Amino acid sequence: MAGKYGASSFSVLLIDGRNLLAAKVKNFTHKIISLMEPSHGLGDGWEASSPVGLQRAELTQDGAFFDDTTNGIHETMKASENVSRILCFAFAGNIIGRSFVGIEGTYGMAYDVLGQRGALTKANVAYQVSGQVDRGQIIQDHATKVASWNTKSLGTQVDYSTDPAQTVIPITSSSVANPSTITTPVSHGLVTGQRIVISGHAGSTPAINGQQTVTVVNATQFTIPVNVTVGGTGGSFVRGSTANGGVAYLQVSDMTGFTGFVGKVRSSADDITYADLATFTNVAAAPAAQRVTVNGTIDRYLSFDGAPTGSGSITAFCGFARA
Amino acid sequence: VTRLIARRGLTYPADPESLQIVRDAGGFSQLDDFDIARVRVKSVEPGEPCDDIPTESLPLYLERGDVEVVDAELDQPSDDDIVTPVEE
Repeated sequence: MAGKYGASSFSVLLIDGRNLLAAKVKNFTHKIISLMEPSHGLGDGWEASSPVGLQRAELTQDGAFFDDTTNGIHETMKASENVSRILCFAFAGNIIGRSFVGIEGTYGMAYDVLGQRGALTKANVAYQVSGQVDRGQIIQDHATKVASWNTKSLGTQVDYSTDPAQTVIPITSSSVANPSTITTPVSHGLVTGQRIVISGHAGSTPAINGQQTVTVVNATQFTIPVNVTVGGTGGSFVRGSTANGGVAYLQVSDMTGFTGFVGKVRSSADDITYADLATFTNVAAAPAAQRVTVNGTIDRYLSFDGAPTGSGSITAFCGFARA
Repeated sequence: VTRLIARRGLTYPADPESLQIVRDAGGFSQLDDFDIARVRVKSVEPGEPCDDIPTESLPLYLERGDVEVVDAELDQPSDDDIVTPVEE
């Protein structure tokens, strides 16, 4: 059942720092729609449609118990019109490295309170999303901490090369040259300066498996800075960095005692030295949520650093989506 | 004499022993619980010296401008910055 997840794995549903799973949501849908325009005309015998280059996201949740406690679903959604929200959910487990989805610009389009004879009152929500949907990896799982921490020192940083959402590109051969030219049977989709992680390449001297920095030659060839004296074949690579920035999400669902909290996402190419990538503004009270956009190269390893002020406890979640 | 100044917040092993443990493991992500407890980490804020940044990391951060080589003379406080205690 690898790659398949059940209801218990849907373990994060946070809106503006409020944990809506506490209301025992029964169903959740997440739909991305490509907008199409009819493109047939006079003389055509069949209907035709063409994409207009826009996508729309729709979210719904239903079956939750009506709950009017502080930060419960009723308080969150009762005045939901025209309020932009930050929403994060994770359907593959509340585990560092697993997938999450983040959206800013999530409006409660419809909020239904359903009273039923002989049953507890339920509350359904349909959302209208304004803006893009970001898909990425959990950098900090939704967990409670009582002191400063960073996932790097805890050994729980995220290695992008292990992201199951990555496309594995096969390798045809490595040439005898310095630098060596790598040929792929399909378009590699890389840009010069990007790092990749090669595995399973056989026969070359020296071995080229591991992290390499590429210089693109054409759509199916690139070079790596290795003096290869005996060419090899086979194997594959995944990307070890991305070039177009990304988006970091922070959700703080509870903060007791602490008077402030600053979260940081850090990145590293070598897993030894980490550099600040995204710094969230100080959180003074929970619930709270933030979305921060970063540009440029995102290195292979990502870690989260949490720095609370004072003493107390905090429950926070962080995800990062590469563009 | 030159110094290395961080232009971006950096964290890395705080001393040679910690660096060796991380190197031997193949990176922070490969540390086991025993080594995690032994490794000390240093954080450097933008504008602070980072002369002890691991040598294998330095070329990339220099290339990106996250670390800058500066003349150590320029990094010293000027006369205006020195406050002489007033004896009563």
